[in-house]
Amino acid sequence: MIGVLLVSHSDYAKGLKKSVEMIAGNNEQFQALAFDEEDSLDSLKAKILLSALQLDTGAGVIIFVDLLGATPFNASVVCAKQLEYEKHDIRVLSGMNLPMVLETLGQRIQPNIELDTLYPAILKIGTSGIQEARQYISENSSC
Amino acid sequence: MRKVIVVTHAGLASGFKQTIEEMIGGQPHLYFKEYDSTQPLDDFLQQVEALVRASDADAEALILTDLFGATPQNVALIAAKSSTVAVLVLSGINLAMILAAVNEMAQAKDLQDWAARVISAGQSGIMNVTELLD
Repeated sequence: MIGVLLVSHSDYAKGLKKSVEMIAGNNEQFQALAFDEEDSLDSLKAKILLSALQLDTGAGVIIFVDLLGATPFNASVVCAKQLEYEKHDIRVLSGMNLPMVLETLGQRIQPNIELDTLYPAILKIGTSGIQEARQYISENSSC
Repeated sequence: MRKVIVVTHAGLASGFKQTIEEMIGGQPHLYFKEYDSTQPLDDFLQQVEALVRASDADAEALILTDLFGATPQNVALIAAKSSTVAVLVLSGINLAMILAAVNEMAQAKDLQDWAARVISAGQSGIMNVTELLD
């Protein structure tokens, strides 16, 4: 099964994992990491490498990061590259939100699912999950 | 005056709060509220409504929620509907959206424009970045 790792500045990743568990229960091969104030880039990379290796059982790992261009992103991409040389298949997706993570956990249990077919669907769910609800209100206001 | 209210399932809003405070420090017009399933729904609704109400009469609010169709968003919609001030509710919150909501708070020409900027920031930050540093 594809592993899932969430990485963020401070507690956002751990908080997201907690909300996911409130909705979808506990999931295996699912971890969250914080880039804390006392962390260096190297210590964050060490944590990501360790988690990714634990999470990869042969099907690869999706690493979700909080923000495009920031330290968790940089560290994750560098780790993905390093792990690629050791034949681990890693994808790093930025801008993580609750719909993306829930969709990943739901889809990865499908038989024969592969990273290359899974991640574009996850990106789409993440983007379409960001919307304004005013139209939704007006459509339902007569109820 | 404008404000941002983050409303999510338990864990996420407080995680966002920690991350935002570490990155840009505490923000005066940014509020966080999360839904614990052991809490009566009416209590949660009253707390969200109180956050919407607790402002000047001409305030506008953006409520950022985690998941379309789930309890935090449904409660936010009820609070928005009963509010006397203009409120828009967005779903699918990510970190880029909160940062944009704070950064664009003063610049956006109206609530709709503000929401559009926040949605755009959230959506454009979602991508496969695996090969980005090649």
